[in-house]
Amino acid sequence: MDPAERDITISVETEEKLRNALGGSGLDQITRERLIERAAPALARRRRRRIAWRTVGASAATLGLATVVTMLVLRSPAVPGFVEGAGIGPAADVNVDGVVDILDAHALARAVESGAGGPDLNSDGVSTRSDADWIADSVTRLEGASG
Amino acid sequence: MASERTDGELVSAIARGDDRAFAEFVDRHGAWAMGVGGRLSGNRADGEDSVQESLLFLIERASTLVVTDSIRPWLYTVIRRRAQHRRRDRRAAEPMTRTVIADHETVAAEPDERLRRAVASLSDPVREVLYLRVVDGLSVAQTALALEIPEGTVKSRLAAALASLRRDPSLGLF
Repeated sequence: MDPAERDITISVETEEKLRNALGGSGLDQITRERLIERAAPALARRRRRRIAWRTVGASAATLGLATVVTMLVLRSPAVPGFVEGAGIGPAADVNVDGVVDILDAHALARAVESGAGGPDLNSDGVSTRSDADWIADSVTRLEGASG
Repeated sequence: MASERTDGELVSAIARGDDRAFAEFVDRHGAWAMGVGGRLSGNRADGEDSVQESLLFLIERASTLVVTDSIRPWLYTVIRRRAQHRRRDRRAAEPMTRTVIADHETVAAEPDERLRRAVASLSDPVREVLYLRVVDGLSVAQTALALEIPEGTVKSRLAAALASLRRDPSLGLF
């Protein structure tokens, strides 16, 4: 055995003697209860803090979920391919390709010029070049708004 | 029989404000903590206050503590700091006239007077290593952690303590 290790090796008998002589008096029931009782408010504070954080977490999660759902609802068209909310509906899909875009404005302008007519999108009672301009304005405004 | 929770599990439960976990913690470490508090503070009343403050500190810090082994080295450092503050405050308020031996008499229950006197005559750092290793049952590594000193220093202080006690044949230590 290393001499240094031997110096700090304690026999069971010695250890027992030292423990008996130096050991504490233990924890009596009254002291135990006192330690526990005095800690109770601090433990209660921890529980309240935990509940508060849970509430904050749940609220944040609900708010986040609501935001995501709102954004999805706003972004998803009611009719696939069409963006609603700016007054553009399926009637504006002049070239019937499922999407209202600048090509529909162009198609409507050509149809009006050729005398074929088209939908009255701006509700002025007639189908004219101004309906094609209305589509162009709406589409441009939407593209600008979406970034 | 349900397996006993580790110190780490108890501390995690305490962080959630679990009363029963705290009671279990007190049952496991309370007697030891009171012993440490008593001998470091100089008397049982101050010792209990040091332990109480340390337990409140534990509750406050429980959520940030990572306990992989025994909590005792960490708890020891907390109790020691509080006990030191109490001793300092008490010395400032009222100069101590009692001897260290008298202090230990207040704390220790067993009447092996000669051995207690011999241990009390050791220097504070040497005596504390002896207490932690032998009475409290901490390992060399845990003792080093508790006292914030290298393991080599723990060994040399323990060797010094034992050598001093073995020199007195009337103590019968080998």
